[in-house]
Amino acid sequence: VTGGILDGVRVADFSMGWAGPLLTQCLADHGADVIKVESCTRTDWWRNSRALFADGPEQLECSWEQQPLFNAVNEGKRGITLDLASAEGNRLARALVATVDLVVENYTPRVMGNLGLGWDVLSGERPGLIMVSLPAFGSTGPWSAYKATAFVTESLAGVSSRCGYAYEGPMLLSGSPADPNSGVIGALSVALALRHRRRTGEGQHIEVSQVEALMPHVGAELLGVAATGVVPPRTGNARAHGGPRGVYPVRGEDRWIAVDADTDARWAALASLLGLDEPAWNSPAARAADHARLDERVATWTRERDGAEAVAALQAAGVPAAPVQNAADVLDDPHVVATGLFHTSERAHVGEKPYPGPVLRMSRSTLTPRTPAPTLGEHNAEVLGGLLGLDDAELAALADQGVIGTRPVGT
Amino acid sequence: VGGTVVTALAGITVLDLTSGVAGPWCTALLAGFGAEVVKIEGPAGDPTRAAGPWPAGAPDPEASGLFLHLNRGKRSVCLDLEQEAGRALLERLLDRVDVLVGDHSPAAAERLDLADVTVRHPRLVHTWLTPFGTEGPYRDHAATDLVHSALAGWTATQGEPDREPLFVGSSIPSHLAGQHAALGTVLAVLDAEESGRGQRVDVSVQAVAATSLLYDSVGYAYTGHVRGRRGNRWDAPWKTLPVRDGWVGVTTIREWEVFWMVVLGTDDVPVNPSGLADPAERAAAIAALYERSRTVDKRAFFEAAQDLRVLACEVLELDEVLAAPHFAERGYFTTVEHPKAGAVVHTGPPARLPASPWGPAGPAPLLGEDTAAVLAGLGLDAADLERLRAAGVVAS
Repeated sequence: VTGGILDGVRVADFSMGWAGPLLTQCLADHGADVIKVESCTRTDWWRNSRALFADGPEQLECSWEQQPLFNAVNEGKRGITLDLASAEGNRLARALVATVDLVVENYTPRVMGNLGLGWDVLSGERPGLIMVSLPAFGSTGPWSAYKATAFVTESLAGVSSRCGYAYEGPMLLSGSPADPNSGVIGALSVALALRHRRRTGEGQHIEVSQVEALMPHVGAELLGVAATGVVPPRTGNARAHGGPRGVYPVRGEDRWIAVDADTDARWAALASLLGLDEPAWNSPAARAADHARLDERVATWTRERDGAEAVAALQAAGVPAAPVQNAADVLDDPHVVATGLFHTSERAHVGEKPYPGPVLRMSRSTLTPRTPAPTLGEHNAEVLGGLLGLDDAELAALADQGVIGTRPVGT
Repeated sequence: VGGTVVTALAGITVLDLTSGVAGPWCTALLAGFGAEVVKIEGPAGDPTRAAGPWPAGAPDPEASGLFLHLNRGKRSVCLDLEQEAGRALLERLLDRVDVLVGDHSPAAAERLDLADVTVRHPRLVHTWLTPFGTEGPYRDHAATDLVHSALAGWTATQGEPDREPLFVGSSIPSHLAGQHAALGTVLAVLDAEESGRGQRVDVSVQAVAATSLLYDSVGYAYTGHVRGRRGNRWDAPWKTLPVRDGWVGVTTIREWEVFWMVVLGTDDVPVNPSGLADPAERAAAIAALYERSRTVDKRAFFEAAQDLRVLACEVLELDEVLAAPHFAERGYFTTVEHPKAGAVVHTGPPARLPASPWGPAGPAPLLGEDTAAVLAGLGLDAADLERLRAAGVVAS
């Protein structure tokens, strides 16, 4: 019988939002004991993330517990509150760190130091400690103090500049891939640092600059521009070379499919299926140059078809194609359902909801079943009592002083 | 604690059977953190050798930008796995490595007898990275990053509401999947070093793409709202504004008056369109705002906004990324000399691990550059190699 690969690894997680919490969730999936630290004065900023989906203000009982994004990236963790600005909260945070292998935080660079919880302090609490910081721009350089969410780092990494309609302005990315990107790079860094510590006994303070972690996504494009000095224009959905590649209308209201003839063989298959037999389109360069006319021919074929029918015909011919799915479609997608990418969890305040599960499938090691994201301060007694040895009277005193609690201040 | 700097994956050898973007990015990360990666290429080479961009100016399979980006610091062995003799050599190599990273389709993996390779090589970690995984209705579907983005929900929210949905524009799903595969690989290595047992690690690009987009799936499940496309319109949660030399990105600006006073350097502040209910008035205010924002430079806008603690950015074009003083001061980009491509600028460490840092030693390999050296390690002599070359089993 094997357990999780990270069984026995304990994590103090001071991170908030998406990137840091996703990092620690990846570790929890493999057995790490993740203790998420919030405070009643400073709850995770994703306990207020629901507005992105709402038409206007909502009246919700305990709104901070009804947040889809928070509840999705904090499964499998224990949650405590500690007012880190208070002397007692600070002392307990350091006592907690003395029991862990890893600290994770994603504030701007000076925040942890100002709280008296910088690397110099924490590494003294625990020999061999590994700490991961996920600043947007890094701890050095002229932009280091600047704040960011995903659209900021994506824009400064050059990633946003590759998204946009042909020859028009750039389009900020709607899905914020910068966050899951930093999260998995952070988790990879932890695995690497654990191997280093196993071999040398040495811990370290890892820095994932979120903008630097993004640039490899456009690494080839940057390499080309560095060599030639020529910035390629935005191309919309088309390929600069070869194709056709595009998003084409199918039957129905705002329904589309994506089609990509990325190789000569796939172009031949597409041409044969759709009857696109003009000799002028034989070379990839000619197809790219004439893509507007080619796109119109493809659209003529797609427009009179149902999306699923068109995709099935294209895939049967070996042409990469898929419907443009919205959120509801994704949750219903037969492949997503068959492969169990989402699971449902029953959680206080919100009932049963679907959440994305771990993406790694391991043949031998065990993945830890997800527990629901903790309610605010849910594990205060379990962690501060069980792990740090505080008794009921001490816990009650901390609650009285507002060092710990289960409701945000002011609610 | 010694002062010697060692790499995180020192001593780990990886056999890389992947091509394209996702698999090679996985092994590029492993190479960057110190693993020895031997890339097996067929006689035609990795297809990304034909992809460009072309740093040396003209197309050259030894100097494709995409290939160079994804394969720095690896060795290349040119081996034809379609031949029995090629598969026999692969089997011998598998005896000697810690990790196999593959990206074959389920059908091709059966044909090459790779699906259950950890049964034959119980200490081996086998990371298997595919578009859709090894089971489920799409397992044999063809995909590219455009297709993954569409299927996973990324494209439906990208673009203007009255125009076609937009591709995210770069190979983000593939890179993200490569990163998850690298994480799974290192975790399995940690386990194998302790238990003496390897295992198979399955990762699919589609699983990564679909689960990385929390906004829409979980948000929809909670609220019943399906997010649509908002483009760069003023009512989008984040959007661009035109400036004199390009675009900047903004979200809700709370301290409107102070912000524009500082940015524009005048107390003649444009009207906030968000406060206007009448569509015509609102449109006029947006046009007037754009006219004013077009008088500012992107760098000045970005730095003024951030100095006021307002969340905003400039949208950098790729040449501006390369020239940004911030990245230069941090020494992010590195230049590596390549025999065919010349001085090649590479992106730097995705993460900085001071005690076990990033730093693949060499440039990307020429096709089959290391065939002789790697096969010599199996005990093959010059005559063996010549015979294999003549039979087209190996090249270079």
